[in-house]
Amino acid sequence: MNRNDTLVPQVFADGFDPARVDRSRYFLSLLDEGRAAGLFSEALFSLRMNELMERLAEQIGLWTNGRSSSVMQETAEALLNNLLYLLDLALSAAPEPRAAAAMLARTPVFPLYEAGMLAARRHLDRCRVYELALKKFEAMVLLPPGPAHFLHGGLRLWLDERDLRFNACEELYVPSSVFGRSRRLRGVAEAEAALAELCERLRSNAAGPV
Amino acid sequence: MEALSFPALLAGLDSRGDGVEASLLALNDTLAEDGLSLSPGEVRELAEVRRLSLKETRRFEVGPGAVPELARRLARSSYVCREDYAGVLAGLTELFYEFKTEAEDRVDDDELMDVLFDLWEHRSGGTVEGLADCRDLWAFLRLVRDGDAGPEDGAKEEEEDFE
Repeated sequence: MNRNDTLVPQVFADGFDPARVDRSRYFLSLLDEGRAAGLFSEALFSLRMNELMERLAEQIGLWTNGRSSSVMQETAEALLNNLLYLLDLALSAAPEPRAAAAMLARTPVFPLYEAGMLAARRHLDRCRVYELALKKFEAMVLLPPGPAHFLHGGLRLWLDERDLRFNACEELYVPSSVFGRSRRLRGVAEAEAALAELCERLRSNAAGPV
Repeated sequence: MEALSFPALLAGLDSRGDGVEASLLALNDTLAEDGLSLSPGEVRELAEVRRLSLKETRRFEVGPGAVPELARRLARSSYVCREDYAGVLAGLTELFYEFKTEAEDRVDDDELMDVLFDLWEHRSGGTVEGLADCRDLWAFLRLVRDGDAGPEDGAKEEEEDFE
C-alpha cells in the first residue's frame, strides 16, 4: 500500500455534486468539492496542495534555469495559471467529474502534470496538423483572405511562441474575419477545437453545391 | 470552509514559511565554527523580514530561497560578529530582494550575491547602509538593467529612489 492509498476513503461520499464542479478551474474545483463532500480527507487535501507547491517550485526553477529562487509575482501567477491548466487537461481525461475526483484522489500532482503536458503536446501537434491543412486549402485557392491572414499572422506567431511548460494556456485571438465574430481561445485545447472547426467549414464549403 | 480561488491560493502559498526557519536553524552547526549563531527568535524575525521583503518587492519565492545562502556567505565575512550577525543578515536580505526587482530579474542569485559580498567586504565599511549607498552597486544595477553603467551623478538619484 502506498502513501496515497492510506489517505483515500474506501467508500465515496454521497455529498459530491458534479454540477457544482467548475470545469474552467477543474483541479481547484474538484479539490474544493471533494473536500466539502468528504471525498478527500484533510490530509489528502493538504498533500495535494503541498504537491502543487512543489511543482510550482519546479516550474520556477525551469523558468529561471535554476538561477533564481524568486520571481516577480506576475511571473509566479502566470506559471501557476499554466500549471493549473495542465492539471485541468489531465483531469479532463476522466469521463465525468466524479471520475476526475477519483483520479485526483489517487494520483499525485507530478504524474498529473506529466499527463497534462502529454495532452497539451497532442493538442499542439494537432494544431500544427490543422495549420498544414489550412496551407493546403490556400494552395488550392480555397482559403478566404481573412483566414489566410490569420494563418500567416496570429496563428503562426502563437504556434511559434508555445512552450507548453510555461504558456500552454495562453489565449489565441481569432479575428472576426475568420468565424464572423472574434474569439478568444484559452490554450491549446480550445485552439485545436477551433482550428478543426475552421478546417471542417472549409472542407464543407469546398465539397458543397456551387 | 473557504473555496480555493486563484488569488487566495497564491496568497496562501506566499504566506507559508517554506522551511526557511528550519534551514536557518540547521546552519547553526556551521556558523558555530565562525563563532556565530542564530537563536530561534532571530530566525523567526529573519523569516518575517524575508516575507515582508518579498511582499514589498512584489516577489514570490518557494522553498527556503536565498536567505540561507546569504547567511552562509555572511558568516565568512570579516565584518560581522555574533552580536550583529542577525541584524546585518536582515538588512542584506531586504537589499537582496529589492535589488532583484530593481534589476528586473536580469541578474542571477549567485551573481548578485558575488557582487553584494564583494562590495560588502571592500566598500561598505561594514554596514548595510554603507553597502546600500555604494555607487558601484548602483552602477552595477544600471549595467544589468539598462546595459549601461550611466553617468556618475545618476547614482545619487537612484539611491534616493531606492529609499
